Amino acid sequence: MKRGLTLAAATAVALALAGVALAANTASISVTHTPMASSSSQATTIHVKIPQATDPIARIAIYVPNGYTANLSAAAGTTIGQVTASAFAHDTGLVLPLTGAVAADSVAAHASDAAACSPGPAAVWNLNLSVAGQSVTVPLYVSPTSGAETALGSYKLVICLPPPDVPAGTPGRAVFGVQVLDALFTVNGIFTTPSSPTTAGWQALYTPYNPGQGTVNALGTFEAQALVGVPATVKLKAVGVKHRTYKVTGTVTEGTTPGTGVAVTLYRGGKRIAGATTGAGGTFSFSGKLAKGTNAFQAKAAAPERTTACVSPLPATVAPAGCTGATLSSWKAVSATVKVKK
Amino acid sequence: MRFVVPILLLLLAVPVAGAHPAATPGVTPTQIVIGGTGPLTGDESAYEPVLSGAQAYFSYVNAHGGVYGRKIVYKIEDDQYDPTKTVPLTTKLVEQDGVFAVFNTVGTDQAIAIRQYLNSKQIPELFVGSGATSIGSAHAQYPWTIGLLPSFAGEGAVYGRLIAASQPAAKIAVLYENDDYGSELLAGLKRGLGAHAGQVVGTQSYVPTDLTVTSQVAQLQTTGANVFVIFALPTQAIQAFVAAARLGWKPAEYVTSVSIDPAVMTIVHANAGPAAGVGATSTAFLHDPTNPSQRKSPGVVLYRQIMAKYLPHEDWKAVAHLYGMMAAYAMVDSLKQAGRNPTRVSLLKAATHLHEANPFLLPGLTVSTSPTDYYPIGKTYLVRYQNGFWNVLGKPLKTS
Repeated sequence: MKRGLTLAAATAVALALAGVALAANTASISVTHTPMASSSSQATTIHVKIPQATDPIARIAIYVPNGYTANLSAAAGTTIGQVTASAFAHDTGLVLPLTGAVAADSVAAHASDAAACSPGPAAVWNLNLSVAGQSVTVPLYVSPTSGAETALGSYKLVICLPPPDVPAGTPGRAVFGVQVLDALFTVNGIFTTPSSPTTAGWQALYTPYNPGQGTVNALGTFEAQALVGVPATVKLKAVGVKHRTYKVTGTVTEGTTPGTGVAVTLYRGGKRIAGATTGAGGTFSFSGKLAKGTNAFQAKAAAPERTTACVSPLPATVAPAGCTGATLSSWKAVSATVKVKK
Repeated sequence: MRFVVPILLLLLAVPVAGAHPAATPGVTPTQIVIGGTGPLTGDESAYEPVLSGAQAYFSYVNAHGGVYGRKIVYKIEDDQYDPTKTVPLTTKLVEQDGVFAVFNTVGTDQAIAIRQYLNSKQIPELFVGSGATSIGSAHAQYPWTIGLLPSFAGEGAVYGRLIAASQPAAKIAVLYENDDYGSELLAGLKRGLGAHAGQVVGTQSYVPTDLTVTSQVAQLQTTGANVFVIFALPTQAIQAFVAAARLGWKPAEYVTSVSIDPAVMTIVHANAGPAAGVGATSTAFLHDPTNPSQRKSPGVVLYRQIMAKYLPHEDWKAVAHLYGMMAAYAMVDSLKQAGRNPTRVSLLKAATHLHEANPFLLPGLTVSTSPTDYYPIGKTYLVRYQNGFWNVLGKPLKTS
């Protein structure tokens, strides 16, 4: 009888835990730069993905790692990038694809809404999202970090979203009950990557709502990370060149780390001639017959976005619901040309 | 005596310079004030570009000298697509703002709600966003009210004739909005089908407050129909396409012209995959600024210029903006034809004697009216959704 009770209790606990596990919130963030180079400030793309099953998100705070600098001087009205997003509209049961521009706005114009989300921003960028002529502007607040937050990064980008799943007509409810699922935005000439090779960790803190209630679940705040290896490089050199054959080898690096499992393609005179995947040390090699005249070799490497474990997760005081995962950036790189004569 | 002529000239000049300040409300030497209502906010705010597009076109006209030197002031009130709000807001426009005419009212029910009031005061209610018989065929009783959209019944008949000719053995299912708009399209469809009208094997209606039309589509699928006609506004049309795709139902699809904004299929594909809706048939009278084959059309070029200058932060791909400009073009044309000293009578006369090549319409279509023809757009084109766009088929077809 006692054994039966124990089993029943254990089963109940297991079911309860399973319930917790099923209800666990997740989200991801990835960051790429074009090019993926040191001291580069051309384009930064930030991609946030939130599964529909995750509780609606109230606030997202993204910390830009130390080592980056930011130019926050764009005048109000200046278009600084583009945004695409998708959102689930609870009112219609449809996923809506949204697109638009990212434009700098006046900080003064956002004094009151910033106060409720991220007080005292140094810059405000409006994500002007639209579909079928209907527009929704989502302000993103940008601030240099201070105090204890400096440990998380040099700047923070913060967005606050209204609750989508409260009853229609509730004041402050999201228009059409829109729940953000995905947002990818690119800003140009804003962030400058670190000058020294590094694997920079961008941290995002997601704070959900209590489902159906429209109240913020601060204890549900969880972390996701984007790991960005800058610079991402592919180096190529000729070894063992003989009268009729060649052998070229190279290495792929992501920041300070060898780029393992990365697809590398070898080109000769602009034409693809071979492909390989890097080994554990980020190395690769190709060999073959030389063509007549000058052989101009070039290697191109491409890494897809990859998921991995969190690195040094934030403490429970900052992210009570833990770290749900990390994303290694996708990138592409091209080597210098190596010329070999037959 | 030599002073008599200048004095006479001065006396004659006074009314010209004054331009009917007392007799014609809304018209001053420098302005023509018109007004209208529409859903700037609320569930149907997808139609807001109809208003902002018109406003942008008036800004463009004003920047180019206005109408005989007068700037057009277009006062827009937000009725949230609620006819009970349209009435007091229109009353305000007339009695407080003193508008010369009411223009571009969005919605059939909204236009009908204010029609008696405006006609009793002999105030032009021009280019209502409707193709309903209750608007277009009521000119004997309500001569001051003119619609703009092609006849809904006529559009339905176009599909009926096409189906009867191309799929004579079709089994036809229809989803329609349960109001004048949907009912007239359905009646027109049956008229166009003629002897084939009995092949309508199922009909299902919805009301705009329905959260979804999935159950109606599922019911229609059970009829075994191989033709699915969607007489629905954009949101419900999207839901219908998506529901059909998710149910694995693959009929030949027809959809009313109000639901062919490029965003409709973008949303359909985001929810049901890229094959959903491909091959669907509709009708179109407006240019599609996103379609590469129309990109160099003078109307599209002008549209893009106006959008870039006056609505730089709004979505130029939303065809509703272009519709608003098309309506505003007809309004400006009417104001010009109404003369240098327009009155409400001269404006109505101008609006009922139009024959304009409106640049925002597809080639070969005109805005044409007469005192007995209150359907300004009497022809339309068949279009088919292929390769990511609604592509024009054949020659214009009569809708009225």
